[in-house]
Amino acid sequence: MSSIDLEILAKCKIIDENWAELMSEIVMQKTQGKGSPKSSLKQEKPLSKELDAKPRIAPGNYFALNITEDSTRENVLFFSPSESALMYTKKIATDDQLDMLLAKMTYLGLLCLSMIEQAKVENLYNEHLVEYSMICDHGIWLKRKDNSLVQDWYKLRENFGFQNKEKSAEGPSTELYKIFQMHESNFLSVLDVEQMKMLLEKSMFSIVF
Amino acid sequence: MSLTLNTFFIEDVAQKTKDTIEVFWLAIPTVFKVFAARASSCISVCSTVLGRIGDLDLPEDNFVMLKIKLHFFLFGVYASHKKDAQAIYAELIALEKLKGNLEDDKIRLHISVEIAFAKAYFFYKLKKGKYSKSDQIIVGENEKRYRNVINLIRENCDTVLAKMDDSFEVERGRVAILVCKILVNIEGGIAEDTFKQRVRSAIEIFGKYGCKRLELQANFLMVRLQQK
Repeated sequence: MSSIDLEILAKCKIIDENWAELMSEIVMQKTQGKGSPKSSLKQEKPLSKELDAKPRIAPGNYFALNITEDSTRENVLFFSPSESALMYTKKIATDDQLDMLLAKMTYLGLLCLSMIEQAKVENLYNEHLVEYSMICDHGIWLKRKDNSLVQDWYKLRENFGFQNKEKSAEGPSTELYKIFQMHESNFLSVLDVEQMKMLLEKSMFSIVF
Repeated sequence: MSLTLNTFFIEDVAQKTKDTIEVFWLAIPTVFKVFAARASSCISVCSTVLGRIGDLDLPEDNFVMLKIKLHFFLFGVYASHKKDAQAIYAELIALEKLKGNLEDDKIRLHISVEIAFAKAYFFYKLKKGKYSKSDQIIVGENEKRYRNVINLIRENCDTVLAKMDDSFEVERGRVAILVCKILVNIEGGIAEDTFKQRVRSAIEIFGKYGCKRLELQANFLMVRLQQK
């Protein structure tokens, strides 16, 4: 997950808009005395609308998080859970894990839909007479309006930074390609049948109860 | 009261999961198709999703539809990459089988139209020799004839699409384009004025939906029809 994702989640009001401050506090608490770069963690200004997490959170391997810089983009950070955080999440209650999984799927689903929509705006695909994909928004490919993910997307899509941007004169947006590369493994990680079954079976059991 | 709330919440989670799978698992192959560096990766992702959906064994129409859309996805990718005819035809067979699992008659009718169009497109391209290993495919010679392809469209797509709402106007446009493409290829084939009118409408529809390439194709066809 990157600072771009966190910024979108904050705009969607799914996480606190002061996520950068909160994260720097967490990171600082766990790393005090280990020689962490304190000066870079100082937070004096309110959160800017720009993706400028870098001045607040210094890259490094912390107790709960590993934070790395994007070498190709300024002020973009990547966050991944540390070994200890992964071990902790394995120990916490299954219900909590499933809630996190559903939240992850929802966010990635919304991101996917926004990327597809922007690909249409920028004509990043090559349509054919037999174009069968979610690029289409007609006939059998129309999104079901009573689908909760689609409803969420209609409500939140404006918060995705790249949404509805005009095609750049310089050519196709490289930003979308970078987002795809960043999340490629995340997209594939949700195709887990056992986890999906756990989500579905949990509810079946409870309805019987 | 608490039990009711709990049950409601959990049902909501289950429904949310199903809704997310229904849309997201179709969106994943699409983003791979658009953004992945290797064209083949969307095929393997789509095949994986199809396998996982099968493992989940969800009988509702929404999930049968998801499988159908994924098979259409593969058909579209194979056809546009000019893969071997057998692989493309296998998708059509899979689609015919899945159609029978749909409970809703209206949805089944929509799918029948889509399959008929896909078949017509496949036979048209097969006749033109656009696919590899086309000699290995076992279909009657009659099916590949241009006239029969036109009949397939007229009998299975035209009548039904004419009755459908505006959300199917792109499909009507595509049918018009395919028929006219075939007519242009037939020796002595003359497009009736109604078909020319349909291509004109298709140009407008493709413009409205931002299908620039199809719009261009339709304009090109219009010129060829005028020359006939």
